[in-house]
Amino acid sequence: MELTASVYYDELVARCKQGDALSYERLYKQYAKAMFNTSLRIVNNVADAEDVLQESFVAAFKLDRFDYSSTFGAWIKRIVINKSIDLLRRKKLQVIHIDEIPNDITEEIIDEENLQLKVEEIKKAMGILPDGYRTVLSLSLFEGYDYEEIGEILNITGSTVRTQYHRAKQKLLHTLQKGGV
Amino acid sequence: MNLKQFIHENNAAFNSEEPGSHVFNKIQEQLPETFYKKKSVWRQFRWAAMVAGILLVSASFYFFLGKNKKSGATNDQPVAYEREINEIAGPAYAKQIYHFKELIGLKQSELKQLEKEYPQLYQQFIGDIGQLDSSYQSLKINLAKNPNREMLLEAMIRNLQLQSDLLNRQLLIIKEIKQKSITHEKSTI
Repeated sequence: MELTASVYYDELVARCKQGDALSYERLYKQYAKAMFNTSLRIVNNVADAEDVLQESFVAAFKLDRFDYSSTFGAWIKRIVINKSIDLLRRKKLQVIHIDEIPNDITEEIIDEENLQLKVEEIKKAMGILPDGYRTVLSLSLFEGYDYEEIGEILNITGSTVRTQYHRAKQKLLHTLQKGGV
Repeated sequence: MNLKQFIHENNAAFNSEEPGSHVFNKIQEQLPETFYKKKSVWRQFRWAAMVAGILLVSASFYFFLGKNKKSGATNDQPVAYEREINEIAGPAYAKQIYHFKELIGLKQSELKQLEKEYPQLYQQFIGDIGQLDSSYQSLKINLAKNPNREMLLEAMIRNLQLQSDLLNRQLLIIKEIKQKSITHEKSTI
């Protein structure tokens, strides 16, 4: 079969499909760190993020289902995100209904432009957000998905995502304004 | 600054955490049987890391002795070399060294034949062997002047054994990769 129509042809993936052992390891090394951080932001726990990484690559390395219709990076990222959310749901032993998170932002609206942003403070503040808020913010701010795409991942509407995103961001900004965690 | 823009501009700092090195091992263990053969190839690369460790020990040994002779003979043609070792250490050691030198020479020419087909891998393999060999050369330079010849000779022979083993494994890796591509070609026809 020729892959002439492929826009996202990836030489490394092609070599893996041909059974080149070294390419599997290279593929892992190329994406593992980014994917680990993506998962860590959602599951908020190193051991869980490592489990997700492991499960995701085992699934992704069965490359017969990968048809180059997206980049390998986008494909593995979607697997990592889905598995991270599944793990959160399993741990809570219930489905996270993201739209059931109460609107607890009753304080003033903070303008992010007025804050002195710092990487470590943002990381810590993300870590204490409720799972739902943290997931929406991670997917939007860090992974670059739009509201509709996040809605599709979380099985909620785009407008619900939009509302949750603004609440989550205000919650984060309040923590940052108070001087971090 | 806008939060999204700040995160984007500090992307590396926000993605600085590293997963444990055990994760990839676990991934390999969970892959189907077809991957297990690849796993064995990968393990052989780990063996090269072990060799690097032993190389360090050899290097320490060399520095411990600290007799750096600058004008040592570097021509390692087996026969000439056997004569040289024979003079210094007697026929028993010379025989062993000659044996390994000959083996290594054969394997190196076998490896050289695969250079065209696997240039990158070849360079990597030659680099690994080169590291071991430079340690061997250092030991050899010390040999003539050092009173503790027995220890040095044992270290040299051990080094040659490692070179020979490493070459064996390198050839095996190439054989496995070659076999894989043949199998793949057959399955796609």
